[in-house]
Amino acid sequence: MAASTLTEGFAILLLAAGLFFILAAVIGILRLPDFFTRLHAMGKCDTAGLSLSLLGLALLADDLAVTVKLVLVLALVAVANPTATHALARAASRAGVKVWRPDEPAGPAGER
Amino acid sequence: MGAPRHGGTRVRWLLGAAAFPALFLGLVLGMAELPEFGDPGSPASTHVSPRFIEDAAAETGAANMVTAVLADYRGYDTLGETAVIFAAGLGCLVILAAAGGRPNRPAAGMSHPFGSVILDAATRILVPVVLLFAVYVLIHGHISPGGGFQGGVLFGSGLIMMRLVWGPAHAGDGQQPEVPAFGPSLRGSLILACAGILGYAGIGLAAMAFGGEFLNYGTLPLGSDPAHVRELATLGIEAAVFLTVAGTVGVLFDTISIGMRESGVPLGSERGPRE
Repeated sequence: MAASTLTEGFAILLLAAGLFFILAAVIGILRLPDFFTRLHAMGKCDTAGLSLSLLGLALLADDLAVTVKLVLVLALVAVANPTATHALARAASRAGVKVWRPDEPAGPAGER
Repeated sequence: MGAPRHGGTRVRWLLGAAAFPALFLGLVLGMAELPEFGDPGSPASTHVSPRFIEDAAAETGAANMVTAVLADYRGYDTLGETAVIFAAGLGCLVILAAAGGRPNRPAAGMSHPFGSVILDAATRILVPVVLLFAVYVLIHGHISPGGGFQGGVLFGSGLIMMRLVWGPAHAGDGQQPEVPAFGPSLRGSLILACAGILGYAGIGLAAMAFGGEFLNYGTLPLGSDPAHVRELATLGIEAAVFLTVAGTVGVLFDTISIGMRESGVPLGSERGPRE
């Protein structure tokens, strides 16, 4: 009983940490000034948040098959998410998307 | 949106403005006559559904009732759906080819090799997983949600991933270097799609040849247990749908990437810095 309570507590801690990172990603996408900085927030915080949440859910799952599936999803996300971020950033860089500088105004005009 | 400029446009605009509300009203009135959603007294609930729920597993050997209905009881409808998907691929090919796209010539940007080590390594890891999962979805459709359509789309997206990262196959013509093939070419995708839809119709015709009705698989000489025969034939149908969908996804991607270049849409990789 004590072990399962400990597992549950640890899982809740992981879930809370995951939700914190996802919240940080959302705030980053809304508040950061240009494409690259937004991508930076999304790529890092989404991967961390999703990984931690999935790890917490895997600990909470009753069925071993569910745990294994969640760990597989975790592995997939850990490879696919950073790769997608890299591909987006590379494509934007090649397409000539301008990088934001602190002395330029942010917003739609500064986004190009 | 914009004001009509001359006579013909105005007539067409007025016809459209009249036809749209009429069609909309007709559809709304028709919808009002339909039975309530989930109405236990509707014909579908009193006659059709109980029959499927009680007999589907024993008759077709498919634990997933949706698969039994889609690929067996209503196989004719699914043949039509598959033909629609095939026609969408053909339509895209014909329209974009007519607009100036030349088949088997890759466009820059959308289908040019992306040339990134990270993407290359990640694709090497991910594509086999995606393709394997597509086949799993196809075969497991008998038991769990899934089947030919879903598996085919997954397989096609795996092919698109390879195209995006490594570029399509094409012969060098002096201006462009020869690029080795990863996955089927446009022609190969088209052959896959054709093979799928012909295989579907072929299974139906084979059932006729052995004395049954079109797409009534019970008569096929695949064993003595009719449910098992139907199970095998359903898997054949699902595999045919899988081929058609995967091939069509490949055709759509290739024709659109070619059409984009030919239509003069600016592509990112031609403007920015290149490594």
